Amino acid sequence: MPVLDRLRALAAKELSIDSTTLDLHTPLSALHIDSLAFVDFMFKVEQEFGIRVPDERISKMRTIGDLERSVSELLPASSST
Amino acid sequence: MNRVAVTGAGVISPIGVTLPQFHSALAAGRSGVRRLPVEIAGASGVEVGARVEWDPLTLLKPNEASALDRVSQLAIGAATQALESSGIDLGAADRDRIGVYWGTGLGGAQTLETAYKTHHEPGNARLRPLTVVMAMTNAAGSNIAMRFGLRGVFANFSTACSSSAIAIGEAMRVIAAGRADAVLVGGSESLLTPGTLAAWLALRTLAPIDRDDASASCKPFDRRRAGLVLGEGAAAFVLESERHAKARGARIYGYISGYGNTCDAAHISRPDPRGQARAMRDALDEAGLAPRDIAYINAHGTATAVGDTVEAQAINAVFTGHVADVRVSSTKSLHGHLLGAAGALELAVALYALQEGVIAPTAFLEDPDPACELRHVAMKAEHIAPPAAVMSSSFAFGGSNAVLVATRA
Repeated sequence: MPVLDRLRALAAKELSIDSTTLDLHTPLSALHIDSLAFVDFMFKVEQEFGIRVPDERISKMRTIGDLERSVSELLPASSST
Repeated sequence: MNRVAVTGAGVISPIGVTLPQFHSALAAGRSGVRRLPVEIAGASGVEVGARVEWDPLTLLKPNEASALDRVSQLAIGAATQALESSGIDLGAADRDRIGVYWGTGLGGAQTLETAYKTHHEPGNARLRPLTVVMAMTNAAGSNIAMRFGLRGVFANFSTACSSSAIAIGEAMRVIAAGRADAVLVGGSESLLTPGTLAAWLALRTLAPIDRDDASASCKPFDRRRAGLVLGEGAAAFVLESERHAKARGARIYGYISGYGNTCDAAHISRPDPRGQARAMRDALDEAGLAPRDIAYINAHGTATAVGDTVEAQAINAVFTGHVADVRVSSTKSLHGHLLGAAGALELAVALYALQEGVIAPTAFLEDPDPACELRHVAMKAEHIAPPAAVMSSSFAFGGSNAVLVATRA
């Protein structure tokens, strides 16, 4: 499954939101969570993908696209789809 | 002064996760004490406890539950029941005049234990950013206030085993003084984690598992008693000024009429009968009652060797001449010791006696200790005509004593 779809599914499960409209241009504010809750969500993202996203990268994320790019870059090549 | 009525109640306990279930277990003398599974007990060496079987996702969304320690989940569960049963219309009420007074002993024990474990794992020092706000002792009360928008008086008391009794007593005072129309009160506790259990075991106050019947491990006032059994859960009430309750036609379960609060100031863990007796007398004085007016005492009765003897001495000192008349039981034999939530849960037991005349028993009390001479309601519930007044006692480590008196009218 593409990274974006997995992120949508995770957001729906963990944040109880309708994530079907999330796309790469959606600002993270559309997740309706504060910055602490977003960092907490990133723990779930890391578990889901088996990666570790550096803190400085997390603090620079502004859109779902930023998140998707970070995850894709950190994923081992074999598990990127 | 305003009289203070109980207009709503809710429990999430090891012997029932609704008030009717809880009542039915009390009447039947059904214990919720069990052998602890290994995923709870870990390597603590503790084999027995009283767990709550309740799925927080029946009430909370996954993301809400994930941001709350179990102590707050249980708190919100009991508070939701209490508010629903009170029939109070929060949309119409002035929520600047409705507060939350809560009691917790240890707070977010599960969050803390998870965080420490993660921290000590090699190569993984990163903790969840919500760790502090999930673990802090006042989180349970604050989460109730936030969920229901209760913006009035607020406090989260932490005095070990008397925490929620003090929350209820202090709320009674603040309503009586006219500072709030209603206060959501109670307590919650959830500390069945390997590290916490190991610490309690080290204190040498826990009962070993009863090899013949794990559910019978806690035997208050019995010659064979060997200590307490830790439990988890929550209990909540809506306390309301009588005027406010009657104006909205609320059902009144009873009144909180007296509250005694003293400190032994003697020893950090060994109780003192003088401090306990002063708290009982103060509660009777405030209620304007004499010892003979009390039909039932829900004792603190933890089933430790010293604790039960000292409490029996205190009751004998206060109820001189009436000890043969006042029924006494410790329902910790059934639901375990809920620590910070104990005072609230046991007030629910006392209120059941007050409303229905059902006196829940000290289960497994087959061989009463002569050093604990009292009119025990042992083994089986007693059914009497609904009495006029009952008492519930909570005596904590730290020497903190809190006694509540509830009356029917």
